[in-house]
Amino acid sequence: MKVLHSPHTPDGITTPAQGLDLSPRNKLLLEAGVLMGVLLLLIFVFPAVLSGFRLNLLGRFLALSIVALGIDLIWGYTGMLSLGQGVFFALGGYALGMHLSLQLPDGRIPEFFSLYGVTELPWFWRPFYSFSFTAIAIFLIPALVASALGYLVVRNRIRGVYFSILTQATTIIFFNFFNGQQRLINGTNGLTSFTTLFDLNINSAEMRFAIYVATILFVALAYVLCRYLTSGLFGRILVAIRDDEPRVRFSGYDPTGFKVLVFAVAAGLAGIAGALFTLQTGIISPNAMSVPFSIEMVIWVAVGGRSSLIGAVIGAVLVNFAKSLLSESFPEIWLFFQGGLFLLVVMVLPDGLVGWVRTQGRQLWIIFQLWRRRLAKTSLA
Amino acid sequence: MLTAAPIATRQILQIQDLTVSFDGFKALNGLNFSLDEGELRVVIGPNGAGKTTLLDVLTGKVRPTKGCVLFKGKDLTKLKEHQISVLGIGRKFQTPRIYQNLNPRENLELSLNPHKEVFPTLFGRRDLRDKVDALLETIHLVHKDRIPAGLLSHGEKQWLEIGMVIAQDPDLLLLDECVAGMTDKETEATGELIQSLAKNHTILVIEHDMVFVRQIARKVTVLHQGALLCEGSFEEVKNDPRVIEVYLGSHKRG
Repeated sequence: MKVLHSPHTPDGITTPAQGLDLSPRNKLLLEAGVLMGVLLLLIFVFPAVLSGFRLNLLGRFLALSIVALGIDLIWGYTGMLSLGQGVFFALGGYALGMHLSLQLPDGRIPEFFSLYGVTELPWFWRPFYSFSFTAIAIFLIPALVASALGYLVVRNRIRGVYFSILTQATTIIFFNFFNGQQRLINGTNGLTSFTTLFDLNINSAEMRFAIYVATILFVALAYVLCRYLTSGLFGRILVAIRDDEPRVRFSGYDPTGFKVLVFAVAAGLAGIAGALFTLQTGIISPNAMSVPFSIEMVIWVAVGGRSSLIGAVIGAVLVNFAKSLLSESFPEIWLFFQGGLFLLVVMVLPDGLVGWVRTQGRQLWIIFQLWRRRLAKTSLA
Repeated sequence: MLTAAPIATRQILQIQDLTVSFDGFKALNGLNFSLDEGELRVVIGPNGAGKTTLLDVLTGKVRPTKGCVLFKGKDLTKLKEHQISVLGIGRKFQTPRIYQNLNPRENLELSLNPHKEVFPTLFGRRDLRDKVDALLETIHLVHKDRIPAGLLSHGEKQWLEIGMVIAQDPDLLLLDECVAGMTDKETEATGELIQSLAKNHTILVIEHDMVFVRQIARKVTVLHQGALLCEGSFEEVKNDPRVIEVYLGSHKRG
């Protein structure tokens, strides 16, 4: 028999082996409490103890964790391994990047256009003068692109590794297209040298902190959204689709709508992540659509633990901190480390760190309890 | 179109001249078959007779090459799997196909959900607890309702899947070798369950286990090489020289 996909059972289930035996309602309250605690910690404590540089990194990585949440939703829960989330990330990044590039006195157009002899703003730039339009576009454009792509692919019952290959091919197409469009979006150089948002200097300390806090709030929102989608009957159906999609049809469900919806949500989340990341790094270029970056995103989720939302966030933050620490001191070694990480996950931690804690951690805890009891007995004797 | 009008009872399923060919091999070859509403029918036949292919056509898994399948007057050959399921045909697979990472309770809820489109599923409010509890009782899984279904024993999985099919409240239940791998006691209990279900469902059972067939059968259909060989009561079929020939023949070859 196929071994269970993961030791994870969706919320509300307590097995006898678990120490905490709470009702579903209390569990939810506990989770909300922990979430609030982490938010307060991130907003009030971390800024006090971390240097400005590290705090900025943390903000960026938290932005990346929003993509990871989306990947967890479609891969960990629904079994759709997308190797193209970078596309949606970049679309969100570009949407905000265009708005930021347009923070100019009346009548002027972004400077790079003059390099290519363009004197008039291309038509599709115009709506991005409006912040409301941009804010909606950041989520909606990636979501619509994903819906169209997802519908065509999923409707034709393309799944598993073929789905992954198609998403990767999409990434290459988008990458090449954006790279080639100098006259429209500055091609391979991307959009950069942003200065203001809402007429405020985005590089001021206050604004940076505000962006950091906004990022945290968006992570929390994304978490709650994914949590909502993965719990309840809807979430069970996602898991059922992951484990045995043809069977789901015989249960009376058409998996197409479910898969397209979560794929679109994951893309929208990637767009938000891309926008927040762009805001903090000050650049968005076609590199965000490169194949390796999209694969890295999957590695974050694999390391943290798919089919556990918290694992996706932890994976994204930890792997990226490891990357930045290692590449600061040993620039050459990072790729080897990344390869090693991937091997480690495949060989030793198939369910990631959180999955490991769930299974092995519980066993270690039991062993520890037994050992303590034995110790107590011997000391009595 | 079909011309033979039902006389006494309404026919729920009518199959005419059904042919399914896989690269020239005819798994079903001009099959004619019908079921009355409320009937409990057992279909037997040697390996390769086309029993499972028949169920595949009835559930939309396989498109027929030729022929006509009417269920409650609707042509099934044009519908997708989930549409057929919603229309009222439920299938229990040969090897139990349950959702291993969901517990029995969740497996049943998923099947019970009355509105199976995306948004009603996401936002709809439903209280299925009582129905789930009753079903768990029926399939004897009350005390294992919160462990992942993948950890159940083989027989329990078979029962869970029968429960899932019942949960869909179909008009026609298709049971494909549902006692395979069960102990004698479990088999007998399953037989009783099927008998009680037969009171208000139409049931089509595919079976190999002759003891079990004798226990539940009212009318038996024998398939051979994709076509109907004979039909009748268990005793009639058992003593039919063609049936003996087909079964012994296949034994000699096997």
